[in-house]
Amino acid sequence: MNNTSKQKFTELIQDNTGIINKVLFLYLDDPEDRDDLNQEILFQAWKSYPRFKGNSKFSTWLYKVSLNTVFTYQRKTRKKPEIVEFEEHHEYDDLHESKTDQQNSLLYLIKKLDEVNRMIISLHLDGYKNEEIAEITGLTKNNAAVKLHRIKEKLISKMKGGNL
Amino acid sequence: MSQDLQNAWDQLQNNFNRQKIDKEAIMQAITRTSSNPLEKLKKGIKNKMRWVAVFFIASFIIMLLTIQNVRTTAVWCFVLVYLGGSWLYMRHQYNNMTGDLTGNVKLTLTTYYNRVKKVLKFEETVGLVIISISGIIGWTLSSLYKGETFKEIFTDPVSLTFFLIFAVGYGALGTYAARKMNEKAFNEYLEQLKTNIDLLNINDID
Repeated sequence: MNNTSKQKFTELIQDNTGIINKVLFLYLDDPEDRDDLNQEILFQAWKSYPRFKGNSKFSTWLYKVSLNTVFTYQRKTRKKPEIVEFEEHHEYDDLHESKTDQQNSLLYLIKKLDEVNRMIISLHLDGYKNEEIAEITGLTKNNAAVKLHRIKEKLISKMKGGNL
Repeated sequence: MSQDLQNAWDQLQNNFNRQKIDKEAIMQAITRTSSNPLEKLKKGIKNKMRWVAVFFIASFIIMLLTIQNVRTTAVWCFVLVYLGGSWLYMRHQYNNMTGDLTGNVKLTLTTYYNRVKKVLKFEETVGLVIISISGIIGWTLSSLYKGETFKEIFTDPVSLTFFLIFAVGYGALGTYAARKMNEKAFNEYLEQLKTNIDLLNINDID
C-alpha cells in the first residue's frame, strides 16, 4: 500500500483510538498482554484495511477487527479478570482520569460479565442498534435484544442495590 | 437508572478517547510480526515446507549421483513423489489458513477454532507418516545399494522387524509426541475459543 493509504489509515486510527483503548481495557488486565494486543490490533487492522470498502463506518469496522483480534488472541497469562475489592479501584487507575463512583461501579460490573455479554453491553452503550449488534456479534437480532435486556436488568439492579 | 448507566458510560468514553496513539507507534505496529496463533501455525508450516523442499532437492541430486539400477531409481522416484506430494499438501493447508478478522465475531471464532484444530490434526498426521516412511525408505535404499533385491528385503526377518518398529513404534510415538506438544501449546487456547463460541450459541429466546 502506498504512502497516501498509510497516511489515511493513520488518521483514521488516530480518530478512533478510543475504540482500541476501550476494547483493551475491557478485556485485558495484564499490561504486557494489553501492549502486545494494542500492536496486534493495529497490525491486523492494517492488514485488513484493503478490504475496508466504506460500506460501514470505519469505527464499526475497527470495532469488529478489535473485538475479533481480542477474542482470537492467545493470552500469555490466562488470568481471569481480577475481581478487586471495589474500594481499591487499582485496576482502573491507568485511565489517568478521576472517575465518579458511578463510573467505577459500571466498569467493575461490566468487567465481571462474561466476555460475550461484555461485548454486547459495550456495543449497546456505544449507541449501536440491535441489528448492528447482531451483525457484529453474529447473534440473531432477537437473541441480541433478549441478551441485552437481561444484561441491562442485571447491571441496573446491581448498581441500584449497591450489590457489588 | 438506565439513563444513569448511559451517562456513566459516556463520561468514560471521554477517557478512552483522550489517550491517542502516535503516528510512530502505528507505523511500528504495522510492520511487526503478528502474534496471532494462526499466523504462528502458518509460520510453522512454512518452515516445514522449506525443509521438505531442501530434502527434495537433496534427494534429486543424490539420485542423479548414485544411479545404479532400476530398483534404486524407482525408490528414489517414489521419494521424490512423496516429498513433492507432501509439499503440495502443506501448500494447500497453508493457503487455507486465512483468518479474516473483519467478519462477525461468532463466525471468526468458529473459523479459528476449526482451522487451529485442523492444523493440529495435520501436525499429528505428519508426525505419524514422516518418521515411519522415512525410516522404511532409508532402510530399503541402503539394502538396495548393498545389492539386495526387493524380495530379499521384504522377506528378511531383520528388515521386517525394523519396518514394524518404524511403522508402529516410531509412528505411534511421533503421533503421541505431536499430540502432547500440541495439547500443551494449544489446549488452553482452544478452550478459550470454545467458551466464547458456546456463549454465542446460547439462544436466550426460548
